[in-house]
Amino acid sequence: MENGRYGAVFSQQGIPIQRANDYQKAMDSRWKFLNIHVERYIDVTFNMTGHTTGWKRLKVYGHTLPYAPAFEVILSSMSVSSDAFLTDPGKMSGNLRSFPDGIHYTFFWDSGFNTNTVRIKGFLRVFKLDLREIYKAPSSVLTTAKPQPNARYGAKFLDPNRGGTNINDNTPRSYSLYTPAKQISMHMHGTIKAVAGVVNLVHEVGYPPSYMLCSAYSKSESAVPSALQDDELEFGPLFESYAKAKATADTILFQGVQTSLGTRRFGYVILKDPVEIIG
Amino acid sequence: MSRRTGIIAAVNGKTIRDELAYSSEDTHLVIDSAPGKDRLKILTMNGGTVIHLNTSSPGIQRIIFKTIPHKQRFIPRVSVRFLARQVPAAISGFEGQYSSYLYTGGIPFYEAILFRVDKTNVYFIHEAGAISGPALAYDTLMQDILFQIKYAIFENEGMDEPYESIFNAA
Repeated sequence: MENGRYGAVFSQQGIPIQRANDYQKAMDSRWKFLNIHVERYIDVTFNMTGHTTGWKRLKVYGHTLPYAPAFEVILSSMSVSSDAFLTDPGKMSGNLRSFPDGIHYTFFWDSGFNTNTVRIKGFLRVFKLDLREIYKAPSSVLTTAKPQPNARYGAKFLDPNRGGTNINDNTPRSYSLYTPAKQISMHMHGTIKAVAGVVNLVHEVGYPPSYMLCSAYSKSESAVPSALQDDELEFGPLFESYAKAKATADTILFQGVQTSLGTRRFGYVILKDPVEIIG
Repeated sequence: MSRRTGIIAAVNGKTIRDELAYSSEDTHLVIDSAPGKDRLKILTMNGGTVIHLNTSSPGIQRIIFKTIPHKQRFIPRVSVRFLARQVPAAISGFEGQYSSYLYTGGIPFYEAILFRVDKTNVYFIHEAGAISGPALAYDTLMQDILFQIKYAIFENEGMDEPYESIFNAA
């Protein structure tokens, strides 16, 4: 289909749908939401006995998606990236990276480290999102509708991934779609290379938006190029604190905090959630 | 719930076999935005109080300048945007910046605004640090910045132990 002719829109409960701004929609089939492929605690320990010095790539989670998906992770203080774990603090540098065959811990291993194990503990959330695709949603209404006190209509669909739920639950956590709650949709995503130390994106969403950013590497930029085909990318975890951002209603500018972004490649997700407006 | 009920939508211009824009079979990032829950709010406040640093007393100091009970039965995913609204002239270029971790400084002094989440609360923290070196003193500046702080406490898990917003040196 060139242009979809059919669709569905649900505004948040109490928001008149004709005047609902994008961020006041619980679902709109014209744009993409952050569909979660999996979210789970991970706790994996690798025995590094016999490994020689060099870049290593250890699979932490096999995601089964046909591309390197966008993901976020919160690592535990017990993880190897913590100085407290190693008796050689700061000598091991690495991070989780997304590859087409799974989420890996990619790091430089020195056989002189005072440890034989690498432990990765944390909470992992993998999105059904291929950041190689450039996507930009249409913007619609640029006013903000006030909630109406007598909301009579809405929709809710139980989340089949959460057990023990039923349709009478009144907690949003039980549902995949629940119009009394706010759900996070995307305005843009893709990859971009910094130019002269900055990333400048034209978003045109109508307000300074929330964002997530991650590092990205092509085969020629990767520390483990053998893991990638020519058209594939490797991604670091998405962060809400990557670089420093300044935005207008139409553009967002990312700059380095301590160093220039140079010509580095990034994956980005611009959300429809405004940073200055509640709702 | 049967896996054959729900709602799906294809990305505009594609079929449901190609790419889904939305599927109610997937979990989503959700915030309970009901009034009174206080899980989605904007606050306006300064970044804590002044921290006096000196290279003769190296180390990290922290001040919690806001505590918000999250009232979840788990440690939730939390999103916080510290937006620097009004900035004293001493911190050039800081006005209008926003992130979940704002940083300024370098060697031997730095300071930052960040958040922490534990089993009961979300904390906004003013952190400052000094390393040892030739005798120097520094009084922090973040307390003089007026921040607009948007926070969201999600219905999704964050971690099974306390965690903080992360500093990325980029």
